[in-house]
Amino acid sequence: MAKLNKHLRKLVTKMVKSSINAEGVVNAQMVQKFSRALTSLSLSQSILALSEFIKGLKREINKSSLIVESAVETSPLLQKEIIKTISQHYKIINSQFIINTSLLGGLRVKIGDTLIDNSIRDKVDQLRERITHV
Amino acid sequence: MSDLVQQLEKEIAGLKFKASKSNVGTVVEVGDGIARIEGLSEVQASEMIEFPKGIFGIALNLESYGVGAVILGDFTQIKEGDVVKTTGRILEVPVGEDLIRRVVNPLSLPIDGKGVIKSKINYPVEKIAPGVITRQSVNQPLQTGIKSIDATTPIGRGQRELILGDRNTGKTTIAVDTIINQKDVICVYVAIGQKASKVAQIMATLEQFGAMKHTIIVAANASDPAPLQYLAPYSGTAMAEYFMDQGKDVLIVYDDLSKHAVAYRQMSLLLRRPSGREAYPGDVFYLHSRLLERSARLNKDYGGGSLTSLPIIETQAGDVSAYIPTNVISITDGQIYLESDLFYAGVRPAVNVGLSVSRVGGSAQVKAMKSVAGRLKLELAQFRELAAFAQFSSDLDPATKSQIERGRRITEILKQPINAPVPVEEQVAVIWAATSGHMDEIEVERCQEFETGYIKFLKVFKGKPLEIIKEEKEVSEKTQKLLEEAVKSFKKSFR
Ligand SMILES: Nc1ncnc2c1ncn2[C@@H]1O[C@H](COP(=O)(O)OP(=O)(O)OP(=O)(O)O)[C@@H](O)[C@H]1O
Ligand SMILES: [Mg+2]
Repeated sequence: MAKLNKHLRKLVTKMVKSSINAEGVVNAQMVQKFSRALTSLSLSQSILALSEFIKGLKREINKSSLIVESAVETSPLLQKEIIKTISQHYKIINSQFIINTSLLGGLRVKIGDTLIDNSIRDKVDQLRERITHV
Repeated sequence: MSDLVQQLEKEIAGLKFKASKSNVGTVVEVGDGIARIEGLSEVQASEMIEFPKGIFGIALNLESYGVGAVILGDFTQIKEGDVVKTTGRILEVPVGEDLIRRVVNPLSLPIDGKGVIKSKINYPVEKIAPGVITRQSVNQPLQTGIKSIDATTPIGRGQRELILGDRNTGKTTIAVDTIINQKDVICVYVAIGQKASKVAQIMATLEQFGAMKHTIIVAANASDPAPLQYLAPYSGTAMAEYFMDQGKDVLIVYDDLSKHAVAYRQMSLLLRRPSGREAYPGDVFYLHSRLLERSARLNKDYGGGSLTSLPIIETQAGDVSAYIPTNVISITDGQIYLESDLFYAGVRPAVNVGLSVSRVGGSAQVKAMKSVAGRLKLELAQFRELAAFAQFSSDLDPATKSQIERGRRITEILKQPINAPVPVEEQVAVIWAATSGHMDEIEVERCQEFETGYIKFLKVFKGKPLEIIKEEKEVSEKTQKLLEEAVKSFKKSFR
């Protein structure tokens, strides 16, 4: 597999950083500008650089993406409340609410790499681990 | 039954439910016991991570966007997209008395079919070595029961003595016989990358000589995944450290670290680490130094326990200047060098006395041995030189001739069959007889026969010289007279 050279890799990292502002919002204009610049490279380098650029953007976006799973549907009011609480500690740019009945109850919240699990499922798992060690 | 229910109730009552917070990542690539994971931004090096289905792994390569990890378990169950969690813990394994007599894998799971191990105590597999203030210098001998080693390269408790030699030169035998010779020392034998049949044979030997009652065998065989082989010496050391912390003397054998380095190289290539000399990753030195640093002799304030290690390295065509042998030589306190030429010439154990050294064991050697073996090493070295020279000349002066004859007899009495350790007082008596010239007129071919008879004779000799040596731990002038008397009267009957 071909590899992106060191110099280009650094450049792409810089491009990713400057495509996202301090609040974590993606600047579409910048992304377009950088993408155009990268397509001017040789074909193989350009493909590698662009995919690296997209991967980097995804990673950055993921850092401020909130995913909330719950066993039953959450009301808009509760959703607002959740976002408000979590944004006291983390930057949130976009959020997603998912129903996952296997949680049995409670919430499982993921923001970036951090997972906060307060579901019944997790408690059952903790309990199981505890008694299998007896 | 009600006991179990009670215990369960107690466990459940003590359980506090908390919302669990963890750092997560996603598997992006998996195969050969290795996974590449994106995310896990807060993971630490060597931290345990949890895959789905209760499978654990260890984070090894920390990269900017994720980690490379080894999977400890069935990696075929893990697929791309699986979520991985940090645990905040370094890998721990069960340790304790329950492991004695057992054969376990590096995760402390039994592989001898003798049922579950109930130990409740866990020790981390990686640990910072004991600091200087907790240590004391090596001053107690660890008797191997092997004459050539106890006499010329004595090992002290807390020492790291490397056994190195080509394949099939008797490396494992030296380690196993040393384990057989122990009485008050707990032993851990770590088998890395060996055939399962060989490990089974070693266990059978230890069992046969009653040595399993103070021994744990930790095995990651050639057919096991590389990560398990990588882990084996570290978990074995954790099991040994438990006993050292109890104030006991412990001996650990790593058989062998060459195969350990190969397993690590394989893992590193899969993790796409940059490789250096002989395709080993740059930190292969640290791999073994952090392991062997954990051998120690603790001082009274810290319980006075000790961990002696016998790492084994296999050389290729006697080349000690290859990458891994030089590394390990530089970390250890000495080495026992075994040579194919000697082995095939019938000098077994095939210890090259000239090239073998023990940098700290001398101060631990018992006085009795020191007094009779003091000049042994030098005399043997001179003998080798003279013998080589004698091949080219027919007429030698009488002094040289007698030195060669003496050397041949000493070489003869340092030979020893397998699984037959010799108590130190018997070693002293025999070496004394050979070095002080009492065997000069015995034919070389009959030296071993002489030795056996002489020891038998000493056991029943009226002054009980063996018991005195054992008791006093030195050879006083009086004892020497007694030995002289004994050897003279034995020689009369030896014809
Ligand atoms: N002192 C001895 N006297 C007679 N035979 C011996 C002696 N030491 C070892 N042997 C024999 O030599 C053979 C090789 O010994 P051993 O397995 O200990 O060597 P090794 O160096 O560990 O080999 P490997 O490279 O396969 O690990 C065995 O069959 C063993 O019984
Ligand atoms: Mg061997």
